[in-house]
Amino acid sequence: MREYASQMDALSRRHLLAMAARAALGVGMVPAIGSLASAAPAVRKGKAKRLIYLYMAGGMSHLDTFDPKPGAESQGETAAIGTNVPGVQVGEFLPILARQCDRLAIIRSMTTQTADHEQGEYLMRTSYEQIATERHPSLGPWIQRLLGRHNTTLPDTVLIGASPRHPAAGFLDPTFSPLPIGDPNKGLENTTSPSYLTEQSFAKRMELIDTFDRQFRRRYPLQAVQSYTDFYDQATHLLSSGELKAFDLREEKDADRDRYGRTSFGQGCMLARRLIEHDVRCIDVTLGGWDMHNSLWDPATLPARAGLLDQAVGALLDDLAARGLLDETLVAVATEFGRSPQVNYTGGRDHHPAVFSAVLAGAGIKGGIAYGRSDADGHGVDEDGVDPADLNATIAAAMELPREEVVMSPTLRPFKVAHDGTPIMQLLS
Amino acid sequence: MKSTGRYRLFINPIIVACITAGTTFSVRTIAAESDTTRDAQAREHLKAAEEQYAKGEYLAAIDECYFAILEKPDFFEAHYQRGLAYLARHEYDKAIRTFDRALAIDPKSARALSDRGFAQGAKGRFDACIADQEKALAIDANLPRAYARRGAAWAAKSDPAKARQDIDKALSLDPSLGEALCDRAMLKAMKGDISGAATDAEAAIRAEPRLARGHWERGVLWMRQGNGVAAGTCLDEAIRLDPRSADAFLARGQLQLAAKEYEPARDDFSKAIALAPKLAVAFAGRAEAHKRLRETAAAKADLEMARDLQPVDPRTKRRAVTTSTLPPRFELLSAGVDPDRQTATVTAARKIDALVAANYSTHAVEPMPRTDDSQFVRRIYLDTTGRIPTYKEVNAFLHSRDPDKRTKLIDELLGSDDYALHFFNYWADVLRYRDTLGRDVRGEPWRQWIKQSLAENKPWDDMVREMLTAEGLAWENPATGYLQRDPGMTLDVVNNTVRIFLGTRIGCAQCHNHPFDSWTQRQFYEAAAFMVGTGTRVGGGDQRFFQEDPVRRLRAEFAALEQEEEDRRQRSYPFDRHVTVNMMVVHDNVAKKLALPTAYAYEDATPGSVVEPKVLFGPELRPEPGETPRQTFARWLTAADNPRFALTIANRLWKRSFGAGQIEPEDDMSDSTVAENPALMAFLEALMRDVDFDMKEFLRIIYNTETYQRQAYDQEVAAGTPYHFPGPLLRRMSAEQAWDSILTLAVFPVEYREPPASLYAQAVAVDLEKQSAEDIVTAQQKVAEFDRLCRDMQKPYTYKGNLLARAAELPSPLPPNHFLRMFGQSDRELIQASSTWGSVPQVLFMFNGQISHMLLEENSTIYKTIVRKKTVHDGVEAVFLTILSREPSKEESAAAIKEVKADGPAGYGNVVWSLINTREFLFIQ
Repeated sequence: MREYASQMDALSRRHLLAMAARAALGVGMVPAIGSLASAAPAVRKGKAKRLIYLYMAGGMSHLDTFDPKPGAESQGETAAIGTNVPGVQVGEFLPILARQCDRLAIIRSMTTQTADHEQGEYLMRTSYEQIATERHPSLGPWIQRLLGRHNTTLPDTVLIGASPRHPAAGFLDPTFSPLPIGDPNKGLENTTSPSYLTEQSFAKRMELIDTFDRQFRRRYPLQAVQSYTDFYDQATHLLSSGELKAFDLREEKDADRDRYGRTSFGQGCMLARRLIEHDVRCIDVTLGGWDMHNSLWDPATLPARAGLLDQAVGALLDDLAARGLLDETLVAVATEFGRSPQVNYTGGRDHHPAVFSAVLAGAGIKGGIAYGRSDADGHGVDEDGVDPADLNATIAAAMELPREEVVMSPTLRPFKVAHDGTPIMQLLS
Repeated sequence: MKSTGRYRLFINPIIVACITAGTTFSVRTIAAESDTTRDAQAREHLKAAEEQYAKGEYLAAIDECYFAILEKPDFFEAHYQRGLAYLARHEYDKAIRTFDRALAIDPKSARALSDRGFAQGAKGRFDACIADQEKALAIDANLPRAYARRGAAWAAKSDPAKARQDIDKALSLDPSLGEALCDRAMLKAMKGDISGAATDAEAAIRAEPRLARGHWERGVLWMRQGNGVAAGTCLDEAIRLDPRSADAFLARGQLQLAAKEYEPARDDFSKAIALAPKLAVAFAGRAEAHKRLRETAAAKADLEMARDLQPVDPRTKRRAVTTSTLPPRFELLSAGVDPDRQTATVTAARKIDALVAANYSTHAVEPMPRTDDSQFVRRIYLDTTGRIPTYKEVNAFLHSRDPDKRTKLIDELLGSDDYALHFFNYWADVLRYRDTLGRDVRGEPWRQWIKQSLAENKPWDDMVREMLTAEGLAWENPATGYLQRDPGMTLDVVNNTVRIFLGTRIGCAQCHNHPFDSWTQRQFYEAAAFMVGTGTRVGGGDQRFFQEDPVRRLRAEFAALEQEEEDRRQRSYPFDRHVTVNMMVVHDNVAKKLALPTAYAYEDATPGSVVEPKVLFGPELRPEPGETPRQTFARWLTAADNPRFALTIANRLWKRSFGAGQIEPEDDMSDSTVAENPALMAFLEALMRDVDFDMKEFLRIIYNTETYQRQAYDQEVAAGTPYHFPGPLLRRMSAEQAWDSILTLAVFPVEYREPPASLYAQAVAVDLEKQSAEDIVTAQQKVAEFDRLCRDMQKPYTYKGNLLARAAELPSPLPPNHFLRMFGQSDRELIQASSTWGSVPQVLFMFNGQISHMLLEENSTIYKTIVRKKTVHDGVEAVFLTILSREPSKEESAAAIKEVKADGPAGYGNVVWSLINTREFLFIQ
């Protein structure tokens, strides 16, 4: 047994060395290990080719957004409003999404056990519980690992506004690491040369590098050194390629940018759309500020936060649909837990993992459905409980990912995308 | 009780009881209300606010205004009324902010302008006060208050003539304006007209009997007139009307002092200080009272405070007594290596060389030639201090003719502070250090403990034992940070501990027998049983720590604290968290037992049965009397005869020096593991014991070997083939080495050091049994002040948003788009998750990142080196020596000189930029 393990080790290490030579933004990238193994990439018929994952950090109140309980004592001040789907209501602060409800599959029976933000977010993003000895990958890197690399010039996964604790590529090697974007308005950083640097002087600098480095490269003809030379070539190539525009929101009209809302999240959603248009496979946008322990109905708290979610996602779905991209793109809205039906004495709601809501829309998903049910005052699951692994399994099924494929971590533990969760078949188109 | 509005409630005894019991409760809700209802409710709250204000219940007035604003955010009157209440409470900053909001709604409100100006004046900003009064007067030329306040500001600016003119104008418009009468009284008193002043003060009292200031002035004037009894009556009344007047307490304190009533005097001064913490004269008064009461130490402390607080003399720009104003930094105390061991060091190094050489012949390996001085000086600096050497350091070494210069440099660098910073980066990666450990426990104390342990060269076994056995709070015993890193994860902690310190992975056996090694699930549980009783948080009901539950008491006290409702709502969670942080105590419950999982699947034990602690390997260990199981475990783990403890650290340090371990990977050993060179590994392990786990000495020996001093290997090492150490491997710099090296080129020496964690400890610590909710609120403020201090300290060291500090001084984990993360620094979630792989974003960072452009700034270190050179030839040579620690070749020199001659200073910029973008810069030869 031990011999087998060291063989596997050596095998994966050889792969890693090959990967090291071609990492990151991946210009000139070879397909990843998964598809190398299967020689030819599997033919994919599924509708969802790409994923936009919108994460509501802090715990989005289900009662005040996608699961209102009109008339219940727990409802507080938020009124329920009708949608374009008969019999489905949402909170009054989501008027735009209410008109697009036929595109949405609302899951009202999400449930977990953890009321801790960090652990909850980790579980939601990875399907696994957070432990101190292993780090599991999030969805984007999982997709790249299972299906191979998709985009030949841009990264497969882009994180917009994610926290430093985002599980990112987890135990997968750094070539699967998502590209983080802090401020969507700035786009991809370090791509603008200082103003004094002309194209000519840039070329001269590249020549100088070559002269100064020649002796060293001759002395050390090693792969690790060569790989850096490749990265320099790729970076130079990228800077002169048109693909960088994908990251530049200034290419958009002001009126269009306004439609998404001039917030970090609004602009992040717009950047997500641009990246989808440039065939980036997975974009993950985070909207924080949902941890509303105090004064939830203060205009600056829930109404404001829900309002900017409504505006940004509304514009995103409209734009994707108008470009025909909603038929290829799955959009998910997720959060770590809901908020308590009881209003606390500071006028807020506390952490509530027993039941909460998530939303799916777009490719591979049937719209106009409210799936699962919470009980009368939104306290627990009444019907069809869905845990984070089930939600991720549904996403995986909509994208036709091989959910049974086992991927070994470097510590030789076996893992699967969505951790054996059960997809919600009723929601899949 | 007033109408509760919608979801909100006022604090009343019943509710306090509910909060105390820790329950939340739903409240009556009302379906969506129309705007008119909300308007009506807002007006109702405002009316209540005005009533409370009239009664002198200013806090209640503020809350009512807050409720009114919740209903109607742009309600001018509510903001304005709230501002008045803040003025009455002497909360001038809040008053200014509130009037700002009011003025944003109605910019033409003369009274809001005048009142804001008043608050500015009270903060000592007299010009801002005058400006606001003039704006008010431009809108309403007949506003008496505005004249009075402008007059007061002129008086404060030492212009009594203008002051008198304005105040007379105010009184001509409104003869019963108390404020103006008080001001005129003061002007008269300043001129020595005490009886005239007294007349005005009495007029003020008649005109506005509730104006505390009138009573205070009368009282002070009575003191001047020698009537203590009358003065006392007036000051009592002033305090009754305004219990937040520091001035009134101060005056009464002085009155008591004169009457030799020292205790009440001391108490009055204390109240004055509580209300105005920077009131020097109150400290001086209390110092006197303390002295009379024979409280010498307190008297001395107060006197020092009084001196420190004395205003700066504008002529000498000095205080009466100057105190240290240097920003506090965490200073390392580094220990050097033992000079007397020199011979032993060399002997051991030769022995290693002999063992390596024997292996060369066995495997027919051709060793690499010895490094030249340039290669050596760069490598030893990077390996020991984590940065490239400076121009000066390179020159000093290259030009030295001392035959022992390598040995001497090794000793010098091992004794430098940089050694600790560099090795901290490595251990932070291994130990997954982050600034927030579990549950809000902050990491700084542990971080500084690690650094200092490395700096003073604490023996490795002691360091590990301290981490494994530490008890108490994180800031009282910083070594507890190791266990606070993963609270409540006993099994994971045991798994990680064995992996890090014994180079052995038993993690698989957490869930089932290890598939490739000999570990059984039962063995895993037996090892974990040593740690099962170790907790990281004590409960309020734990009688070993608390006689009565402090959490309940403190929550009740917090609910009853006099504070604004808005603050109470915002502060209640942070308050609870602060209490919790003070309960994060690493402790042991020796009675606690570990049970096998209920799904235990093997024959050798019943599922769910209790397992007794048992060591993984080596002889059975009996607990010593009074020892906790955790202490027994630590004793076993760190014992010199533990078969893997010395082996693991010896192999780790070998790998640090050569880029490959004798055993690979360094943390996955099994019974069948064979080192590359078993005789050498055995020697290294024995050596580690011989030097008593002295890591600096061990590294010193390695650095003195010929093997280490050979050139880096220039051939590809195929995966899976053993490496026989013809020299060290060629390594890419770690992220931290790259960052620290670029900093060396830009801002040497890098001055910034993190502030000492002891300051944090002083701020955060509360005695939960003895201290009150108010003390906890104060502690929270102190923590916020500490954080502010840290931010302020960083400002002078920040370049375009980047803190220019050594990697070991930066926050952890850093955001993913930071230079260090881009170059592979770990996010500190997994053991040794750092990487040295390349990526396109890295290259973009080197091309266009602010850090590379910083080198081209006029005040950068490298720029300053170049401008001192007289010829282009010398300048180019200096650039090469600074960046690559070597002289340029003829070809390189010619290309660089051509570039500089063509483009001048910009040409130097191009040469510098190009050199840091070479592979030679990023790799360690």
